Amino acid sequence: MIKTITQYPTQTGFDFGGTVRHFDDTLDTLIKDIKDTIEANDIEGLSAFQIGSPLNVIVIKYEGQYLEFINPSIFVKEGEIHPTESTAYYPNLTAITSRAKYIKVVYEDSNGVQQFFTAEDDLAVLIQRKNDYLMGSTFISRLSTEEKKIFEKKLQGVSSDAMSCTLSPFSDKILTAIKYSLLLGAIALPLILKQSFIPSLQMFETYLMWMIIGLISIYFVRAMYEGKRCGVCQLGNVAAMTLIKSLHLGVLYAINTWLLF
Amino acid sequence: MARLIIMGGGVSGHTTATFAKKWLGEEHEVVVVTPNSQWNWIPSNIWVGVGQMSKKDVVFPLAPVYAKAGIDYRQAKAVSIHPNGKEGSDESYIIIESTKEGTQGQTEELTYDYLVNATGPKLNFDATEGLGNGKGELGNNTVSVCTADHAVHANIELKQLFEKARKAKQDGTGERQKILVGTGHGMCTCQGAAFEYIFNIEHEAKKAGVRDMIDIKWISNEAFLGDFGMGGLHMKVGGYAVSSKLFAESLYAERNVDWIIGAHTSKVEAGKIEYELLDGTMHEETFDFAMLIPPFAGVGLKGYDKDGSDISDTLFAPNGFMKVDAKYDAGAYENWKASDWPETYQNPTFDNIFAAGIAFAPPHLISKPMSSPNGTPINPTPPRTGMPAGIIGKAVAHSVCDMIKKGKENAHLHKASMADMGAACVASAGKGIFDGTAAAMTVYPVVPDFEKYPGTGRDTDYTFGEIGLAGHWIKHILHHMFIYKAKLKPGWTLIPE
Repeated sequence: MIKTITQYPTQTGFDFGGTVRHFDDTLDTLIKDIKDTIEANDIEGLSAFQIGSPLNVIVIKYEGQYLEFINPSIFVKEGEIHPTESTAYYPNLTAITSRAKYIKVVYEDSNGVQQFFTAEDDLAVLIQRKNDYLMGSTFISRLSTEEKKIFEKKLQGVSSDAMSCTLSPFSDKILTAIKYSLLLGAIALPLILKQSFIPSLQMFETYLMWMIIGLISIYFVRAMYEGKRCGVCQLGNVAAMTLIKSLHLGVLYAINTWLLF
Repeated sequence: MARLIIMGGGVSGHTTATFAKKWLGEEHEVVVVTPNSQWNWIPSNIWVGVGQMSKKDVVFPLAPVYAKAGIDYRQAKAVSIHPNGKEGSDESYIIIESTKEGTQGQTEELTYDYLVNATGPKLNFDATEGLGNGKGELGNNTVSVCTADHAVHANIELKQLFEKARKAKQDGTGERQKILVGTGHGMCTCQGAAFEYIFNIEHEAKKAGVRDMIDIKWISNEAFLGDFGMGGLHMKVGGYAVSSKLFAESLYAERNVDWIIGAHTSKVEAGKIEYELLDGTMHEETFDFAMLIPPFAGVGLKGYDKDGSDISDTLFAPNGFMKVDAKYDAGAYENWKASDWPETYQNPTFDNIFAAGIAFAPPHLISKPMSSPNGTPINPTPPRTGMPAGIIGKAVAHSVCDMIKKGKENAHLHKASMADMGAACVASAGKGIFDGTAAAMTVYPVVPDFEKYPGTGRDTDYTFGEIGLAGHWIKHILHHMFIYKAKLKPGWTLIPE
């Protein structure tokens, strides 16, 4: 059955990289679906992830023949090349990546028998690209910093909606700071066991909690401002995240009140 | 009065002994038999191995701690278990051999009502030609960070190598030094310790200003980077899902650390190893400094019946680890289930014997089994150290205490299956208050449950990872917290395993 190929901006979920354990009809059907989809779209290969399956399966069409890789793992990488790549996930876009020139793959065939495969140049690049999907990634993780910036600009042209729905890294950093501050507040609590530390600990926890309140406020204001471009969905996320962090702070406050103040 | 003997005083044995004594009080006897006079917080050995901590920072004497707790401490190694007693006596007993100065080599019989095997592993250096010295100890060709003394030695060798690199840089000879870190056998576990050590070396080389004169290479039995003996994991990083494969590959590339994976180190010589890859091809790699983790095996305990006949195969699996309530006949990989993993760690033949930590025999691997066309198995074996070892130790203590207090018939056996247990791991990638980094990861469950979580086998809501300075601080705080806990200082029970 021809399946729809996942395309940007659909984000990778958590369901990828699942090891194939049963070499049965379900696997045969999956491989057939991948082949049908390759034929229908006239492309060189697909990983199962690209048609919505979490399993570690890659099918490559090479010189008219299909190569099926179940649970592949690239265990030898030699040499370095910088090909210009394109992929069905980012239609009509290309980027210069960094890839191994020569690879050795250990995998299983559709009967579950361990096999080895050696590839060079274009075929090696293709397998590496499809293998990235099994890690929940795309070739974007194989770009240099400069090339990544260029590619991200190209992506903005593809879907301005999608890009606008992503909060800036600064907002994420504030969330990370809140997370670690809360963690620090909790980790410091065992110091209560030493009587002489208690006054310092009280002061530390007080300042820390005020700082977290400040960080949550900054996050809320900034993320709401950024999220306005996306609409209700993103604003809802920001509000929920603010509520969650406030609840975490509430728990820390309750513990501090119980133990320290 | 019942007597509980715990063989081993590492993370698992110490946890079992201290909690059992706390719960049993003075009414019952708790005995610890361990060949070591000092307790070692092993995760920090990697910092000793790069000179960022001294040996005394990671060890403390056991005798005063056990004296304070009221635990009978015997500095000795257990030699054999006699669960049915001997001729003329039905009392179960073990034979121990003193390792204490002055009484070294003297043997003694210790009877028990309950026995916990928490001996940890034998560091099986001799499994690889040239890795050991032929007497079961570390050979001269490589270093190790498995014990505090090994780590002290590793640091001396590492500093000498840095000095050579510095001199070559000053003299402009261009002579580069080569460091190789990883696993010394196709069936090793504990990739995490080697992972931490290689990145700490890289960090220290940078600090010493000699990084540009040193090539650093990783060698491992993992089929992919980031397997860690757990078949890899998915992590939520910054709200996105990242595979540990990609996470590790990015880290190695970023730190300019080259790698060899899918490798079984078959021979070690001075400055050179031979290894077999998954495809059966043989290769060589040279080095100026190498730290290769040995495979683990059981400590060599024997089991004897009342008539003196050898019943070791009843008590132990072929690898020397103790049989517990696991399913050892699960068969091929596709048949493996989470329920194969032990829950109570009770020996199936003798209900008063338990195993905890590394000492229990796992039913099978966690990672997908692989072997070369020559038949050489090349895959990581399951990790059972750190947090799981502590949790298992505490559950076993609970079970034994219930059995002693309520009787075997009424006791509730406490469960701590690794297939229903999360674990947190903080892997250091460089020590420093302001420039340190560590990868903090949580995974649930440790053993994938493909029935409960189809696809990856893990609950991604409880699996996350992050690398950065905060991770290093956590690692450092954990160092102090766990040593505090192990010293049984006030409030030690509040600190989780």
